[in-house]
Amino acid sequence: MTEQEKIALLEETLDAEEGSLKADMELTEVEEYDSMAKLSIIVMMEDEFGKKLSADDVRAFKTVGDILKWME
Amino acid sequence: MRAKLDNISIVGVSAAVSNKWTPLLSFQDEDLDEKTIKKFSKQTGVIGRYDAGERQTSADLCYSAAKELITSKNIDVHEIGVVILVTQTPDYKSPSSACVIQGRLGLDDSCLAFDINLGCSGYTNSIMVAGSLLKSVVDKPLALLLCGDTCAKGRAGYYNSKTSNASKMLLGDCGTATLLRVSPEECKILAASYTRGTEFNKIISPYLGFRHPVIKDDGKGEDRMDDIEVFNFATTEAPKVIQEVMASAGATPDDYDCLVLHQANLMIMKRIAKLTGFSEDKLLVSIDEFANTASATIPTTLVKKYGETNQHKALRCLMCGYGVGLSWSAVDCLVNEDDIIPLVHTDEYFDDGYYE
Repeated sequence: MTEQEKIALLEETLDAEEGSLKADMELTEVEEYDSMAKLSIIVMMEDEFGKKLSADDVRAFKTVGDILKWME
Repeated sequence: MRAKLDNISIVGVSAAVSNKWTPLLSFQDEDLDEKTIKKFSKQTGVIGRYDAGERQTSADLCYSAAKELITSKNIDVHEIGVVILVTQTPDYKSPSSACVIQGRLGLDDSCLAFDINLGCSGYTNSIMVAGSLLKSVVDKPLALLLCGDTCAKGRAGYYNSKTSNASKMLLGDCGTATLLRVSPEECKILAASYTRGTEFNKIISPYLGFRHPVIKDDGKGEDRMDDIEVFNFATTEAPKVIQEVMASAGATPDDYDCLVLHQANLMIMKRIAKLTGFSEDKLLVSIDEFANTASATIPTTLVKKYGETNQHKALRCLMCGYGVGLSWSAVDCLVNEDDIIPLVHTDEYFDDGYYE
């Protein structure tokens, strides 16, 4: 999956507008990144990449790029 | 632990709510816009909830559900030997609200009545408690299991999607009644139950008990939930206990008419259904209308789906509750569709003589 495809999948998961996310963005700047969004990311990560995120893994996310790094 | 209750069957299910239904969209104000509420509804499944009246308690709602069930099923109240109320919102510190309800319903003094403090796993766990007790009672064939909470009541808290202080939007008020009977026919209830007390602080209301009688105002609110931990817990342990019960019954999802999950939030419920191989049409949903009502959600969901239908058909149900404790359990049982009665609406409350 290319970086662009990962960003598109993340935008879809967060219900964010197409083209609104960039890897270097701080998650505090992302309006859609709320508590339910975190749960959606956990589901997406398990379904698409077979990875189980722990609460600590999610708490460590600071930027969009931190999430993208897991999407392999 | 795993349990098998031979010759015990569920012979009645009812639920009661107030007449006041509040749509989540009515919470719109300068801090909470329509878009945020709609998104919350889409993700959690909650569209609105019933609010108990100012003086209406869990015990009142459970009493009304029980009274209607007793009347409509033409139950002889002298046959009831056990009353259990599962609630986190009892009327008093003491006595148990179940004792008061035993009196209000006019049951015999020859009756065991007590409360259980459990939340979302309360229904499935208490079916085991009520069924086990009933098996050892020698002179009365019925147990009345009441599950109710007024979780939305008194929650003046706000909803902030970043901090997930969602109690105002996620929770609702409801009371339910379930009758269990010793049955001469061949029937059984299979169950499994788990507790993980080391995780007690993942969902907790730490204040106003005897350890911390005064609320510490640290901005975190009175009710706390670590929602990521709880999501991971629910979507890991609930599927496991469901599979354990199915295996002990030698059954597969095809053998069940419905999967009745605690209505925690729609995302969790769909996840559990998917991971256990249940199709979404077997997953019953009531969280849209009732919100999350703790131990009341499973019987309330049965009432929403089957309360108005009158087929004489035995439904094979797989039920699973999971939450505060942490505690979780699953039950495989049969419920006749015509033993599930229509939803009761009531504003009745008990004047106990302590109002001014």
